[in-house]
Amino acid sequence: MATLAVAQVPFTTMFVLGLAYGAIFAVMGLGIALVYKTARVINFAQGEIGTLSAFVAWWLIARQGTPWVVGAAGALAVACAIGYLMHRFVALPMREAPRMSLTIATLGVAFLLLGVELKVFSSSPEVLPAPFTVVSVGQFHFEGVRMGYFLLTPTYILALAVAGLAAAVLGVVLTRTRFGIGVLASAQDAVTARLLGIPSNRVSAFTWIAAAMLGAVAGLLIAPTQGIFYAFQMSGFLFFRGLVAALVGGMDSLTGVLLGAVFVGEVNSFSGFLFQGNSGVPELVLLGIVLVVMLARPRGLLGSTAAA
Amino acid sequence: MKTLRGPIIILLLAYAAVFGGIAGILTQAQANILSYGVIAALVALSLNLIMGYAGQISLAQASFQGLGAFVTGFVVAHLGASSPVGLPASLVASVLIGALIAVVVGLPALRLKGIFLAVATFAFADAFENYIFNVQQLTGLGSGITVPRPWLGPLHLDSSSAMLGFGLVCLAVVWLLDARLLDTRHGRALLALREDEQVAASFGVPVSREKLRAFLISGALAGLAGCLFAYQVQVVVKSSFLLEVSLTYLIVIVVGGLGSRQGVVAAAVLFTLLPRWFVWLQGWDVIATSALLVYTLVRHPGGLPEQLTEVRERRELKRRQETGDEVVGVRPELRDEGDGEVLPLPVTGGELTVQNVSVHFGGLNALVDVSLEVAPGECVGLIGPNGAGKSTLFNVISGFETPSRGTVLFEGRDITKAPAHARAALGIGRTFQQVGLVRDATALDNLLLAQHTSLPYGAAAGLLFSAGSRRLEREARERAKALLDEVGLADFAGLRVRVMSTGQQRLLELACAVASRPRLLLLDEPSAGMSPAAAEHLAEQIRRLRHRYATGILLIEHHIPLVLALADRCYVLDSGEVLVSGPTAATIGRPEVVTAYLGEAV
Repeated sequence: MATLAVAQVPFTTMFVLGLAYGAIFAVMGLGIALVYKTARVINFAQGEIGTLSAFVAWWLIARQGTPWVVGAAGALAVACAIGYLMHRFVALPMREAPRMSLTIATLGVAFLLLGVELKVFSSSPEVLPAPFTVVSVGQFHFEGVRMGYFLLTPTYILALAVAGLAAAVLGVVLTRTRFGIGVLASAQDAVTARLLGIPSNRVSAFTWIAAAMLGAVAGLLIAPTQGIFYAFQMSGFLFFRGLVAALVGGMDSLTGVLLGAVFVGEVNSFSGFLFQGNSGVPELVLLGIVLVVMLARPRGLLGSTAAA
Repeated sequence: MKTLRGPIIILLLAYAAVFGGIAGILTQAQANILSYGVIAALVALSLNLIMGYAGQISLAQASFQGLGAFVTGFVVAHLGASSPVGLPASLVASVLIGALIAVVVGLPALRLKGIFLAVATFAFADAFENYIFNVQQLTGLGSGITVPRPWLGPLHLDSSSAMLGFGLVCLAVVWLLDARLLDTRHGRALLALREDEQVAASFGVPVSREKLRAFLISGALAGLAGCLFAYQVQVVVKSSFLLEVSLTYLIVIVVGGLGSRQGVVAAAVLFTLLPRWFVWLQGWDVIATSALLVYTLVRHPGGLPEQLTEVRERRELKRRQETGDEVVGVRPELRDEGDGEVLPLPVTGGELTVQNVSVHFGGLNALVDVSLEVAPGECVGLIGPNGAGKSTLFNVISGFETPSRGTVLFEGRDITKAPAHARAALGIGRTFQQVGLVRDATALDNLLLAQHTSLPYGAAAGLLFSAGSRRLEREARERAKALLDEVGLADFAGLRVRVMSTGQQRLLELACAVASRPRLLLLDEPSAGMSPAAAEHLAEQIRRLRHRYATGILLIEHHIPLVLALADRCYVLDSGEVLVSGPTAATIGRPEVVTAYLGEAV
């Protein structure tokens, strides 16, 4: 049966799809890495921010009939607010707390967002329409790239473009602006950075907000590709893959996260297609990867070797 | 018999449940809800053991429980619903499978800590949810598997009140074992693990083995809860064991108070009952409980039990201040005992030989070709400016650092590669620059922990109250109390270390270091953070303990008067090399030593 599946889906399709999903995982992974860099915690709410954003967009677009752009803007605004609230009411008061406690607190936030999704939005699977199915410029209509029976829709192409853009913007902000260098300095040594006059509160606020918005972007991109989406789905799917991407590539390195995401996207694509009968195989493979990477090279494949 | 109070109350509740059910006072619907509460309490206790006691996070607790439940279904399906051995067989099977899987999940914990362990257990939970729990033969997928109510010998536990009674009996047993665990060396080892793995190893705790043991017991408990759950729910589906369920248990134990048995059980029962009592909440309960978790972590990280403990401690400390017995010192009747300069006993054993040891960190040479000797019963000083490599040398001797070259011999045996806990067992005790105690445990528990290696009983013997373990524990307790009395801390036995002053902590650490009867004691800046007067007190204590317990001492110290008062000989380290060595007073006065400390004379 496995060989049958291979025959149906050509190698290039699996590869391109892996790349497109990898782009979305990269957006998620960048958010996880950004928070880890400055706060030394893994934000377990990152995936749920994506799901909640998808719900906000769905509510605006499908229920209120607003254009896609308005829905996306609303979702990003909500994510921005969540990011700020996490900074102000969780990360800031717990600045001196053990990192494990803060990590558990982000699990609590994930659960809180889940509650909001179920209570305020919907407890059943919903459909978030794709931003566009046909891109029309004058006489020219673009429906996507046909690959065998599979159509690489503009959504996937958008995902690739947005992921590249997000990574580029983040890279420029972090390495080319005064503020961004301050963020990196705080990540290296928070106390010294504060003594040097880097506004640690604003750095923290920026980190959490930027990460939340990256989570929202990932959620908005992945929901249309999944057909349906539902509460808490993202934590198992999107968050986990973004996390593995960040771990494989090394939390310290933006390039590492991008490459890690491509790797995870391909692993996800190939293991998913080759074992179509069992949706659990990719999870098993990812578990193996997580363990091998964390045990053999705890700082990731491209992460710095300096002690934390 | 304080240990028995909890289990007896729970057994009375079990009795009340069974007869309340028969008499119709307790409706079956009420018993049903309560039974889920009891099962949740068992899972919460299992998570509390691994997280609250041992400090290892597990996000896969519901997976362990689920595996227990499905294995119960598997056993029942193969033995037949009315089989008389169905219940015991499924109990044993689910406990074993829970323990086995938890150990597998716990293996990465030997290398991973904190949030990375969280990630690993998260990944396991994800794999369980999407792979193992999707195996049709085991879980029946969407339709689930049917598990009829069991027979307990001739009794059919067909009512929810009977199940509640049985669940409560299980809870009573678990409660008793859980309480007993903390009174044994293995339970105390978990508390040390939570605090600091180096400190645990210095007490002679084999860190890896104890960690895996914690996962094993925790998984066994979760498996047991899964078995009860299967019989209670009767149709087992995988959605009861998803990741979010594991998160709910995490909320329960954090809000109930990590490490607090009563708090965790109460929170588990309440979290099960409240949503069903307040059905009008309709989904707001998820939001409310998670907000409560975040609030607890931000404002009151220890939960309610921690706050109660703090109030009690503050009151006790205040009482001490008022009665004026806060000052710690040598008790007058003991003061004369060790004054003689001659050792009371002919000292044998404890000789240490460090031969040509080098340690490199990257390009930095922390130690270069260092050789050093401590004869039996001798007190040797180790001084030198900051960064000279003194603490690195201590780490090499006590096993926290492997040298790139050279050997360490203790009593003629090569211990260069022996793990830290094994060296503690051989008779090398040590103290740390930052006090190496378990700050969240009481002074008495720290002293019991320090005797870890001299209490040779197994985990099972300890848990089952074997006569041997009870006798050893009683003796250890007496020794601990005697030592506390000796260093003048008898009044502080029941207080947690974190509320004691630095001076008191140093004295306690010293008492802990001699509690295991070491033949060589490594003291790393024992007077750091103490006033000169307190340091003088300390010197007196060290001299007395040394004579009383006839142990050799290697002493790192910046406070030169203390070195002069205690050390027979001393070594001066500078930039990782031995600069000079010889009789203390003569060596310290030498010009090159002064230069190393103060720089070139002008």
